[in-house]
Amino acid sequence: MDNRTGRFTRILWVLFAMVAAGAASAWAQEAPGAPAAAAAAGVGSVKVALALAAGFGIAIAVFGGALSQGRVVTAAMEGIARNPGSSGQMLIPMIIGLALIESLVIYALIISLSLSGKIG
Amino acid sequence: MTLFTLIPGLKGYEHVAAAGLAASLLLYGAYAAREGLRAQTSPLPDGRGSVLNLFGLVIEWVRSMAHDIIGHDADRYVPFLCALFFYILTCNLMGFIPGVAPPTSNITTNWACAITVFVMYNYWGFRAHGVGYLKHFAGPVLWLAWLMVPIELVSHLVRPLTLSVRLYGNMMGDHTALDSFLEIAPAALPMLIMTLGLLVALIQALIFMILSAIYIALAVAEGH
Repeated sequence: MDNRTGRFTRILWVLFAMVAAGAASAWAQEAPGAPAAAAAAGVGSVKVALALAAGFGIAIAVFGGALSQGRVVTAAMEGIARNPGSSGQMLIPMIIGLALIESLVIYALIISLSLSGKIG
Repeated sequence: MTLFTLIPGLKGYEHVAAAGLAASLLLYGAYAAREGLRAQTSPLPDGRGSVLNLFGLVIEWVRSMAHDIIGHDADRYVPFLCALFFYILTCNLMGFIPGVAPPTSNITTNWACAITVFVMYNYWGFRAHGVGYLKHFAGPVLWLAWLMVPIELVSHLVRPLTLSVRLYGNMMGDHTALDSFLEIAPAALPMLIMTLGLLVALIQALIFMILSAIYIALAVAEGH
């Protein structure tokens, strides 16, 4: 077989192999995933504020997310009702849209979980 | 808590072991598929349910998706996208073995995949356009570049972050819900959440692959 990788590509591969060999030592520094619970929130009102923020934050995010996902499914349903034969074409973009909207809700979930982790 | 802690010395690194298990399963599957390909006489697939046909089905689907998104020379990016899809799907599905946490429920596995996608699409952008790839950051009109460059830089830098956090949130949320439901009602309730979890695992692997294809298409596009 002919040798199709150019010189630049080969140099890049050598560099990548060196970085990968060096990065194997980074596994040694990996902390077993417990969140670093900075328990400085000893005052009661700070804990109340954290709890309120964690609860209301995720609730508002889920409200907005569910509303917009409902609109996506409504549009998909109307499209299927108009043209039942093209429902296969509509499935994949609908799933992609739903997952992208849901990812915004999940960013809020991450913040809410980290806030509620700071309470205890 | 997980099965991997039965192996001495693996405490705290279960997700690395699970990811390694997923990778070796895929490598063995690829080896079996290659042996099946070598033993095949006709170029048409026979109707059996073999590993080769399973891989062929998925790869054909990923290839059509890549052609839709990237355009005519998508074939050189298809191996990368297929590897990403298979790896993330296998890692997600490992969460349904009782006692194993999915490796993608740890942010570091997702971060590794997302950084790989980031490096690769920038590399392909540079290879397709040379140094002119940096003109993509300047936006459509040149005199708006002072505004567009920070916005584009931030949106580019946040892409690996969003890719990894999306997958992490989905998988960790599913696994946490599964664990809580196992405490409430051991047999009935986890089945419902596992059904939803199968769907979410497949969809999230799909979303990761499709978004990577979109980023590659944006970097490589020459439609001006």
